[in-house]
Amino acid sequence: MEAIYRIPFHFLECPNLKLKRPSWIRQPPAMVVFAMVMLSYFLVCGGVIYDVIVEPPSIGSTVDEHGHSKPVAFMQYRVNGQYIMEGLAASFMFTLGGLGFIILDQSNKPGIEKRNRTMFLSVAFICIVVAFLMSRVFMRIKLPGYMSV
Amino acid sequence: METEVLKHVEKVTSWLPRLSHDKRDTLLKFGVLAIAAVLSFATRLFSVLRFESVIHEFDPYFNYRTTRYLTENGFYQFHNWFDDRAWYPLGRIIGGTIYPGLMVTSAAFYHVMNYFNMTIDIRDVCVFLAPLFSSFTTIVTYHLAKELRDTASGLVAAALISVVPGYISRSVAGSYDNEGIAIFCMLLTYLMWIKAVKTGSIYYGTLCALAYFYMVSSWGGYVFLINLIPLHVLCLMITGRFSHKIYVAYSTVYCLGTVLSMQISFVGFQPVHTSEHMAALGVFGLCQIHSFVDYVRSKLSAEAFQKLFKTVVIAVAGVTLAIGTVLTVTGKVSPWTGRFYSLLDPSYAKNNIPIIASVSEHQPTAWSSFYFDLQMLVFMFPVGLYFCFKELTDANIFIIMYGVTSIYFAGVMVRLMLVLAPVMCILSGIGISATLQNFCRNMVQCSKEQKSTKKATDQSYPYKFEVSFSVVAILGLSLGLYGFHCVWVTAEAYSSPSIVLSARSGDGGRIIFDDFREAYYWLRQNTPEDAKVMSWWDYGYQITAMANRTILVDNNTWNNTHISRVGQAMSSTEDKAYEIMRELDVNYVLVIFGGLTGYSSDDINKFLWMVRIGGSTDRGSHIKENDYYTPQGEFRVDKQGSPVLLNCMMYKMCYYKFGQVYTEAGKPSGYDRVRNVEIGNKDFELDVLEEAYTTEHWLVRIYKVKDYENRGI
Repeated sequence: MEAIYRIPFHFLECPNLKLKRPSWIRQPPAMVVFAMVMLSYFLVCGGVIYDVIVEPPSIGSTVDEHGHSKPVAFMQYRVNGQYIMEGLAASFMFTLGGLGFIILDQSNKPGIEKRNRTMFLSVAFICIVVAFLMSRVFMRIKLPGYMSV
Repeated sequence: METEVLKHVEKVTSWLPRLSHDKRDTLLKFGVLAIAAVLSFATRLFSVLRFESVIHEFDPYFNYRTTRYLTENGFYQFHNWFDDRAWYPLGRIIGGTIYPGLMVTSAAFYHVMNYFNMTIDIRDVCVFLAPLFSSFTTIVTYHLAKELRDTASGLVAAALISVVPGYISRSVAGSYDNEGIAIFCMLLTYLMWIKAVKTGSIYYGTLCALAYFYMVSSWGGYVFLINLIPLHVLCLMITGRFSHKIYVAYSTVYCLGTVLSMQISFVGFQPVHTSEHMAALGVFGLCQIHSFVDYVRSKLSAEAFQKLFKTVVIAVAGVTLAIGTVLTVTGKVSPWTGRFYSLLDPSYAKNNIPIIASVSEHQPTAWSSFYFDLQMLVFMFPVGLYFCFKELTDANIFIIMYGVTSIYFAGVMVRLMLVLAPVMCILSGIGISATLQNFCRNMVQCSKEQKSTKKATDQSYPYKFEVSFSVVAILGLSLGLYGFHCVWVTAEAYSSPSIVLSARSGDGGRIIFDDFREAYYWLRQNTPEDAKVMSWWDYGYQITAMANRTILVDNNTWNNTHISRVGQAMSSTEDKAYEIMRELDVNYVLVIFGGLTGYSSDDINKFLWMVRIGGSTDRGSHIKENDYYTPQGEFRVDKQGSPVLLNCMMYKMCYYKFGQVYTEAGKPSGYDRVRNVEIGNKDFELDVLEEAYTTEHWLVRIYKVKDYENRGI
């Protein structure tokens, strides 16, 4: 059997390859993966896929009574339509709210100085409250009949 | 401040009966779950209370008709049913092209209830099935979140999913569609999978396979499951968490699940033919190899093992690549098909398949849909992910993958917001309950410290109690606002039957537009039994279910050429259309017209899709979309409109005799209230059609196709 296997190697020579997995490829730590997930969440919630397919303008425009064109930030009366900037602004608010709660959790750890803790807490509260309120305001601008019978 | 709050809390709790800790726990759990289940049923009943117990939309009518057939004729007739009343002259093999789970479930409930002499009509079973299953979903979500983290997260998740609008939109009372039970089956499968992964027992693996079989029988979205579970196993392998438990779980689930899924005739041999199922097969093979390698490694010396390992890896990789290429090239394994391919490449449908692109549910999602359907959950979703990433376990990795993949898919297609809603609820439940637990613990700690030493011991944490109290208060307030939002959205946006319309008249009273049912019943009572009706495909299911007449095309849209032929008939002039209609033996034509009432989803607004689809096949290549626009490129029906548009059959059918009607004060006759213009071509007569019936508000117009002339010229 060996004789048959050896035939091709009379005229072929095995290359002397030293293949090793490069040492800089390592499993990323959990929080790095979480940061990447947050980035993709920001993009998808901002309607990036909608922007790529439907190609809306970045800001809409109307003409007012004097004939000047005025910019329009939010595409009104449609739940499933947006301009690019409004999408990114809204998803920024969503991510801000999430980050507020994460900072809140981080601020609850023992062993932080008083100054740092007050800073963490105030930033967290501001993020959460601003995000909630702004999202509500955005929705009301977009759908004038929102939350009213 | 602490003492006052605690005194109030103690006063309130002293009214409750003195129970042991365990009993209070159980009472609280049952109380919350019972309220959530009842709430999820109740919030879906708006349209039944406002109108009547009627089936909504288009697709549910097909499901209703098949369920009726099943209860009347039994399962074997149903399984072998060839329907000659749809897609004339082609017919449709219904037994082999539907997912029978929904119909079988309804029929089972119907028969059980009738056996106990609760004579409930099959229509009522169909209308109320989805809310019932949403209550079951609440319970299953509780168990799933409990497995992932703890009971508290389970209770919050159950409460959130009972009202989340993303799920309500497809499971309202009357929306008798596959998704109503599919979400329940999907979460049940995931629950069993998590239990199987955690315990590694064949028992839970088998239960998971059975739940998967129920899922496959109910919805085409099972492809998501059979790709997510292998993806989870792959991720566990990459992060080095693969163990014998996962090996046992996945092998059981894959083998049993695949064999069971092939029992559904619609699925057939797809699990071994199509690329959508190849990932599961690949991971199954990889599992076996991985476990075998682990076994061999434990028996051999290190050096011998390394040599063997390298050789085998290279050999296997090479062979798999070769076989895979050969199978794909020869076509034995078919590549990803239309609908699922458009999920990976969203621009594919827009460029290549106009039918998929025209459905409004298949459009990509804008930010407002996310906020509208989920409100507070969009904020808490990253928080839940954060807590999962903080303590990674096998089960947490699963929910992370589910969350990330479903966010992407929901961004691609609005309809898939339904798949995103449960995972949003679970992850938000985890986030909310973890935050609340942390801060309530702070409050309890503070009160204990106060009682014991009367002095703040933690100098680095000023106002600990006040901060925790305000966090809990903010979360409570936002949960309350979430509840308000969800009920408002359900009542205003997702509870319209769309077969019955309602509007407010000038003096505040309500006008009901019941034109659709009026027209279908006219067809049922005034046309011969074998009459063939031509309409656009949207209305096909409703016509077969309610009017009981043969139709040419319906919502199944399986034959693009046939639909294109109908589109050509609608877009051509009368004589060309007459040839097509005689070829297809059409007796009646039905169109929807909203110009008198202002109903904007009528056929003139859909007309451009008819042109596009009509022109997309060979025989319709003379139909070009640009001919129907003005020279400036606008779609107009007034005097400036394109003459091709003003003389095509759809225009004539919609606006026949409309030129003599006054619709609005101060506007000329023939004023179209949807397009907001006076129509261009007013006084014309129809040559080959004869008006048969127009409903009260001109919403549905039916025309009879005239026979050939008596003395042929």
